[in-house]
Amino acid sequence: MKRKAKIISLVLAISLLLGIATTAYAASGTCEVFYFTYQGSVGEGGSATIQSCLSNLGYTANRYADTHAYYVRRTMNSDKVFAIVSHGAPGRVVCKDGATTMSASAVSSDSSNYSLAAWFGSNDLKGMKFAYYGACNSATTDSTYGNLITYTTDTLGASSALGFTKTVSDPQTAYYEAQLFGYLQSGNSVSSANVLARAATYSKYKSYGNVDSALISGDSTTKIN
Amino acid sequence: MKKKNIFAVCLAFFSLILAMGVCRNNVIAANVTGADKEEKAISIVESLTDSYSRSAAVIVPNSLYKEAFAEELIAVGKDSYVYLFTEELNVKAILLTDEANQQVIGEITSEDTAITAVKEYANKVMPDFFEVYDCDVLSSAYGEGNAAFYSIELWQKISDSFYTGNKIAVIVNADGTLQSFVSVNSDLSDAVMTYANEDSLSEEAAIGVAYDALTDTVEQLEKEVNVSYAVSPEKTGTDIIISDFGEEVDLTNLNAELPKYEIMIENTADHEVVTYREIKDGSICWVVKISNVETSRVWDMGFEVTVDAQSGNVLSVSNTR
Repeated sequence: MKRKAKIISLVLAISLLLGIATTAYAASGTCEVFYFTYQGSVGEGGSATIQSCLSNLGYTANRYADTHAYYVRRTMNSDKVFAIVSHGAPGRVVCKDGATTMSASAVSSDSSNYSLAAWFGSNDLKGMKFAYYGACNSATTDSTYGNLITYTTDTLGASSALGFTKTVSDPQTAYYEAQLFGYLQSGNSVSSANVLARAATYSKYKSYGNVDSALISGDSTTKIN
Repeated sequence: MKKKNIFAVCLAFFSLILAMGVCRNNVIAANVTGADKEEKAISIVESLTDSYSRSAAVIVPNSLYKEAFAEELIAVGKDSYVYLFTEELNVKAILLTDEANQQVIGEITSEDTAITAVKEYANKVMPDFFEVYDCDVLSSAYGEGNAAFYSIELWQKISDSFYTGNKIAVIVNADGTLQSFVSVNSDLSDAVMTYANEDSLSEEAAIGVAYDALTDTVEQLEKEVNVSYAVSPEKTGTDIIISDFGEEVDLTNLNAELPKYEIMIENTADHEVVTYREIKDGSICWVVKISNVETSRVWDMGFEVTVDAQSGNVLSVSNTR
């Protein structure tokens, strides 16, 4: 009888350990998702799905609208995952009211621009697993404003970043980013999630809307789950 | 007896672990439903891949695949790829799902050789695609070094700038490894094809209709009253905002120096306009793409207007970010 009790206890203990091990894999930490609703803006895009996927993974995922570039940038160093859904131009993404922008390089001639270079030092984003810049030309290098995705990974130390090298269209991009985070939630790497999301977008809309121009900087095997 | 109990408990435990492993891989027996189709799908996959690589097996399609590709799918996994088939056993997609065991589809040294490799591979996967119609090739090269890749689309065409809507899209790395293969289909029924040969809206008329549609769209985008309220809060703080160059920023004057938000739709000299006809959802459509449209902000815009070539009705308007 005693031996039977011991066996039951042993099985229960192993089950408990397995449960704890599984729980330990749940993601934790803060994520920020930004979108904008000013005149001519992109709107919510896939931001609601992005927030939902991050929450499902166990992150504390906050979603903000119409935020000044200063505040978009301010706490990126606390984020495990950062995502912005907006308009863009080579080297920068557009923030509140279309009146402020966020770039990689500091630009002395542009007082409405808030750069990563002016706010963060080397490796300040080393705790960030993934940064998603969901805007036109967000992965394009500009001789003045720099390159957001390579600066985010190579200088600031984030594991991976994704942006686009062409002007991207909606509804394809909104669908793409929702799929991208859906596949990331399923445990795919950034690279694999990108492959699957691009293909899904083409299948759905019979065109990429230029999301095939998505480029990844840093470690494309990064997973966020 | 007691030893038997211990053995039974251990056996049950390991069976549970094994079952969990099987569930993780989503492998199901090929003979549960539509066994013949599944066997046929497996044989198609085997014919497309190296004989020495891991055997193909039917898998349960991810729910995301069903949403994006088709509700009824047969999914076969082999090496690092998932092959998605329709119930009619047409290849819907071939998708790289991890980077461990990638498939080389041809020797690639340039964009031209990438196009050749993709056409040969597409012909192997979907020979029917090339039987009746020629196709146009759209290709783009992206990335550099080890991250370089080509995005190549094959558009089946009826005549110059007139497409069936049947397309194949392939993304292949510069080293020849396949990232993805997607096919999309259109309605090429006799009724539609007869309709295709009838007189329809001219190209000039279609561009006119597209610009008229843009006038309305631009008005909506420019009107602040039409901006929907944000459902999320603005992120704020108590900081005094300092610009990158040490100046204190007054948020109340954020927009004071901004010009009125305008989309310069009337500056047509700068616009790039591309048109073509395509069969979409059983209709012949003009697709009018207008890009390089300047705005009073830092971003340019582009628009795509789809016009029914028979009725002249605008079916959709989309814009870039």
